[in-house]
Amino acid sequence: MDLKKLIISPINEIDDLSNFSCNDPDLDDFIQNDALGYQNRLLAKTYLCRKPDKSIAGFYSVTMDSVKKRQLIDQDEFNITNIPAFKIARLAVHQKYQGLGVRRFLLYTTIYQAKKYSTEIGCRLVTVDSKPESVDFYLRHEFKPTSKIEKQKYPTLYLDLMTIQD
Amino acid sequence: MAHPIEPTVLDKEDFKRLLKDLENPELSPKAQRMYKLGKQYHRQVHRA
Repeated sequence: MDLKKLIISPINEIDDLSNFSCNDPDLDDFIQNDALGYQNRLLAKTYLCRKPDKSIAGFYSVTMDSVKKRQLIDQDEFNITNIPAFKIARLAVHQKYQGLGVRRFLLYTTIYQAKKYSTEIGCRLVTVDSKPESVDFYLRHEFKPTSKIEKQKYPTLYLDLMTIQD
Repeated sequence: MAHPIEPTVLDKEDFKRLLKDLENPELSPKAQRMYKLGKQYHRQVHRA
């Protein structure tokens, strides 16, 4: 798949997502039934990823987040209680296009978005509450766990935007 | 296809190290590459 031909645009009322399937019922239910409502209520913004023929290859939803210092350590070395973050709330690839680099494409796009927003508002981390089967994917992409991942149902991982220069 | 999870055990020293990383982060060449590719990809975002 030519990733440079993928187009990303915000979800809107005319998008038909009834046939979207990524093999995860929770994510399918979210994009089919909840994503637009979340967006209209300013809770999460969802972006669809389309192929040139307009078919939907995937999507991601983003929102704001914060990570409590105590999730990292019980000491006072970091001088704020909550570390501001940009959260990847959902990220999924249509089952037809899995294994072709689309997930990586979507992740990199969110990282750029987060870094861009960090020039306008306090935003130190990119966070994700990962599906267990996706933890390895995020670890491979420089994310670090915030806690003992084996004890979390959806382990929270983060990428520090200070490790990236504009 | 689901990948088996390799449990990562983090002890207190690991947390200290993670926090030190936050205070004195080192630039990450891989994160830098991801950012640069994301910057290219982001040109493909169509605003509604």
